[in-house]
Amino acid sequence: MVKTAYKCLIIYACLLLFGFFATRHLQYLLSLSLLYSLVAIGLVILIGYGGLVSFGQGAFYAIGAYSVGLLLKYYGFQNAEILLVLGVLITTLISFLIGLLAARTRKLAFAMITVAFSMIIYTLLVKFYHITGGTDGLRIPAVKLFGILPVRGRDLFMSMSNEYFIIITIFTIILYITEHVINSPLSYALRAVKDAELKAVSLGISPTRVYILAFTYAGFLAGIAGTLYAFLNAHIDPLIAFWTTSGEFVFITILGGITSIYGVFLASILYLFLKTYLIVYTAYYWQFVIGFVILLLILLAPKGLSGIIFKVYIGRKVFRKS
Amino acid sequence: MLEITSLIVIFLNTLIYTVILALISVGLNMVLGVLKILNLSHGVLLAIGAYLSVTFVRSFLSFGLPIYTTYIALGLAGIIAGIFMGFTVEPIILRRIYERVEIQQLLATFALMLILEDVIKLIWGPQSLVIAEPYLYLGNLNIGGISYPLYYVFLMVVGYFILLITYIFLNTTKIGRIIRSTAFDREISLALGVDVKRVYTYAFTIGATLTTLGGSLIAPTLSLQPGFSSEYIVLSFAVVVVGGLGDIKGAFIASLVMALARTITVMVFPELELAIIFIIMLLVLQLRPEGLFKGGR
Amino acid sequence: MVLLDIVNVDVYIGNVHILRKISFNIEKGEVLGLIGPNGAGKTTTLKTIIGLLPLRAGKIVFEGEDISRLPARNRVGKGITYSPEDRRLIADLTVEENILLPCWVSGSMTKSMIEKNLEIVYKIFPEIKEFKDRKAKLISGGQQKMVSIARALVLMPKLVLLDEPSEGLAPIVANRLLRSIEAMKLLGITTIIAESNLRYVKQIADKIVRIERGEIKEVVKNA
Repeated sequence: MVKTAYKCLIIYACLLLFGFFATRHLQYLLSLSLLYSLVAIGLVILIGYGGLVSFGQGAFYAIGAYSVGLLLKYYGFQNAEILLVLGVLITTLISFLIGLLAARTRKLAFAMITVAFSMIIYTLLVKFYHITGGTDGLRIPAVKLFGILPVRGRDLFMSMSNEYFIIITIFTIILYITEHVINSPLSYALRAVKDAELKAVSLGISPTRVYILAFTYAGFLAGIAGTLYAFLNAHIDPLIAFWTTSGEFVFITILGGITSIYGVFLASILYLFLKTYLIVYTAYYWQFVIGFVILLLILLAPKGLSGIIFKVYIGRKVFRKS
Repeated sequence: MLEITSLIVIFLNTLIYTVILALISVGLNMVLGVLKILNLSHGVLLAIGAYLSVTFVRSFLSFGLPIYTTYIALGLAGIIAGIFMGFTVEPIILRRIYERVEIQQLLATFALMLILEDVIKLIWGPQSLVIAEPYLYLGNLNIGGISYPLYYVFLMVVGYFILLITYIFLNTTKIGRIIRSTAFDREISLALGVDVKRVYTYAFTIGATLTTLGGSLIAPTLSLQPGFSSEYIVLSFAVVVVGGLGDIKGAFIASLVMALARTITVMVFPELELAIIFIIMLLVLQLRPEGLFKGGR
Repeated sequence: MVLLDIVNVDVYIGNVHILRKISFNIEKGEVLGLIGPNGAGKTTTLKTIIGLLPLRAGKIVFEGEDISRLPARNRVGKGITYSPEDRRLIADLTVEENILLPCWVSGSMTKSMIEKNLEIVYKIFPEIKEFKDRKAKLISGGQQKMVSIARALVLMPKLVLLDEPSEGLAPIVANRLLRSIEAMKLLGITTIIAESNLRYVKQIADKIVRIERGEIKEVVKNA
């Protein structure tokens, strides 16, 4: 327990340091990476520990973001902390409900349900444009956290941007909490169900209940990420709910080694920085480059590797730390 | 609201949407049923067929050929695109991942989707393309006061014809039965002397060609933009899940159901147009997780 | 002359060592009984001969040619066929389509050849004629067994591998099968029968090979 706290503090210190010296743009990128990691961490629990591939985390990400956006638009809350809490609550509640629906299914059916949910949210966001702004999206003005700190701006020490500070703080706290979830009975139960469902049932573990919990937690994380995204980006649009965004989250999770939190952390940084610079240099063809690299890695990995290739690459690098 | 003309329009629109969805989903299911792999990039074949049609139609016209030959151009483009993709993608990429864990296959086909989408952009550019000639040339039909483009009728006739031939092929020819046998039980087919590798390539090519032809057929009705197939991709998955994984007639019936639902929804509650398909899928998954029909999977 | 020679063959399924250095051979026209309890490795042996399982060591020689690396479909082309223990028919095809499938696959048989072979097969199992147009999923287990064996015979192969052929067959039919195998000998067909029922096989086997836990325990010439 102490070791975890230690690890998180070190990470926090590094992030802080980075914030003091990096440019605003770099801080933005890192912030976005942290948000993506949050979603991916939820997937680590779902896919890595539970064996359930969810292609729908983008939906919760979007629900988080649009909760903030719509609450602002229609109720005019000026308190960031209220928006945050409400946004996360709404998302967590919805993910619990969807979890109830999806937890009885496995594998492909589960994936399809999550895709469906992602696409339903997407179409709702697009079609109800008088409410949501449709494909034009919503603007998120910079409200204040606890009445003093605007969620976007440069009011802190040296060149650290407000949004960056908020995000790294929340991220580190969540990281700490999740480490405990990973080492809790829940995660062991999850793994038991994943490996041998019948045996787990005979041990008194209810797979459905365990899955609902895991799914809700993943939704909770995606919700946090989504609400923070609204503050970070100042603008949100329905594309974050499209199934391909959910695909990005899944990809990052796999890239990071599926079962490693720190792995997905590194993976999301890698992915987002790569994507950003690829878009700058190759404009329309960045997907091609990424796709090509993935394919190459998969094809060249030794045949019959049970488990996932990247696990060896990034996971090992990171497992040495823990 | 429900006068005769509305009903006719619902009927026709349903038929069109059905045939397009079916060409994609049946193709997807062929690959799924025989090769046992869920090809996330399958929907991009729709775009490939469509974009190649643009090239063919424009070339035909630039050579001064009369407009009625553009229909041949469409057919040729669809077939050539399908055969080309079938004989390259399957041996070069898919063949290497048959033995892999499902997640790797998922990721690989996802990567393939990214690659193919951008390849389209690389070849045809990011701007939107239009080939309206085949569509306009046929003019409009007058159905009870409504002006209905004759091209849509052409689309339906050709589309259903293609589906029919495929059905006949799979059910009456020797090769068709060999393909079905391989889909049903790969191991025993091996022991019966079947060249399973070749069957896989043929099956994939057939599935791909169905979809590329679908793309060719709808090309004259749309303004083609990169990524336009993303929507169809995810819809075809919904169809396949509802119809039963790997079940070809299931895919057709599911396409019909989804198309009908969509057409009615568009008239009654337009905002839910796309969502309804997923809602139906969710319902079916709750009531009957294997889909409406038992497939090869 | 020796038709098939299995030499020191090791077979693994995953990481489990199933067949341990097995060796035996069979002469042309012989009927070989592969006897052993359940799990002894009989099916694995047959599957290895037909090419569904790779061998890790040793070799298989058929008609003087090393076929150890040859894919299954080529082995069928060389004249080896297989009837599995669990029938494995194609459910949605009719019985006759199931039987004819190997002929269609082979591609080198003329229509008259196919008809002739089909006639012979129907002579061995006249019962099949009654349900030949029914879908394979609609017939009983015993009927499916007959069809599975018929399917293995329709090519008039040089070597036919039968896995537990008597299982599920009515005694009359099982006995007629034995007679047919003897008749097949005259047609030049060599047979390997994998069975747990020694008494059944002893009636016609020229050679008995006993296998237990993946090892050949003894090879006995039968009276």
